[in-house]
Amino acid sequence: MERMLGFVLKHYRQGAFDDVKEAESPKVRRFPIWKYAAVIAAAAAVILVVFLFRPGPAVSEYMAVNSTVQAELPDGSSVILNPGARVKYSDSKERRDVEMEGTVLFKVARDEGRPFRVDAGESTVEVLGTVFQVKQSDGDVFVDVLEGKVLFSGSEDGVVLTPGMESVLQEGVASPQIIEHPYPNPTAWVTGVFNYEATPLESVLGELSDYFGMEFIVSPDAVGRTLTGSFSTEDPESIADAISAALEVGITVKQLER
Amino acid sequence: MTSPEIESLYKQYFRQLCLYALHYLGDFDESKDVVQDCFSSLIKNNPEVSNPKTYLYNSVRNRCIDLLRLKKKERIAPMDDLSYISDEEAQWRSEIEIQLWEAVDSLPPKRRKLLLLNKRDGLKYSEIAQLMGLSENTVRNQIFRAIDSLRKNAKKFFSFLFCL
Repeated sequence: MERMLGFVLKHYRQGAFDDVKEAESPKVRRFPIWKYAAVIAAAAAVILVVFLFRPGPAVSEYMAVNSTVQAELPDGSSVILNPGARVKYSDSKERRDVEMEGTVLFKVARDEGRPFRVDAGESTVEVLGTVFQVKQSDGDVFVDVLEGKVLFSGSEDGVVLTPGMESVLQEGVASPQIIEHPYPNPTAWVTGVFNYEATPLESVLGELSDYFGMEFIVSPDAVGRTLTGSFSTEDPESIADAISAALEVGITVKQLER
Repeated sequence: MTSPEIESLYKQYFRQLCLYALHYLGDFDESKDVVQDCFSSLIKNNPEVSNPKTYLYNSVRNRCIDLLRLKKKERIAPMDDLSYISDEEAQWRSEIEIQLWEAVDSLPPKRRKLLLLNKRDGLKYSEIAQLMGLSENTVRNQIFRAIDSLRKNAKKFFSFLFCL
């Protein structure tokens, strides 16, 4: 009996049979583009950081407008905000809470007595000292974990994510779903690099298209090829040229029609 | 078989057939797909069947075996932990398991969450305590209570089964 219980608990998913009457359960879609604010030349960059102090629990707010902002939270955690992102941090003796929008990379300082929680849209991320990224974009929330463990939940059941895992909570869905083949460089906007190690070309071009908001198209003879190499995130055309040369296939970059 | 008959078979057996398939395939979504396919076949072909329940179980088993052959797995008997059991036992087991599943469904949400974090997601009591802002003792108690109520539920079903 213990074995049967163990089996059920191992595979249990809340609401797994709710759709028994419907045709198919929703598939995980990769969200086509996230709106990427144009990066203005460094000299003209404007960084806006706003601190608000109020009586009661301390509240700090951070915002990135035209370029990436890095900040240290009062508890020693650090955050990096992508342009367009906002973070509102508050804490007390018992907890640390963040409300956010946009894309933010977190490096959470370990504090045994105070759980760290992030609210983005309808989702909640609870962590033990870790490094992870939350991308909130048009109603869908994506979480990628780099170090440590994270519990990512919607309004019902949650999923535990460990390094290398990515999960999405789609708008209107109760629980996050794990993405089977996540893009290899979810934090390229911070690292400035795309690293590929025998990565299927389809994944590479998918990631690049998503990142730049453009369409990377490859010639049909390239099906099944893999790519190994590092590319800086600056210029889509030169990345396309480099890959073209490395694999001897044709790659073109097109603006997406709006 | 008429449409309403098939629909009632669906409502009655779909979930336990999924758990049955899950023992073969190990993947929940795949198992669901297989069972859906079996019902689709049943609707399409509508063969003469004397025992629909057995028919469905056989159908699911065969589809699972085909799938595993396609994936070139060597062992194709339903087994977890290297124990081979008969089709009949596997069928019976799935009926118990769906009862257990329902029992988990009916646990109070907080308690179920703690139980799953520990048993399904592999977090230690200390990790759960830290994550949820609770004491380790509370975590341990809640989980023990959850397992206890699941065991009691299962015993009820067992005794019902043996009284028939």
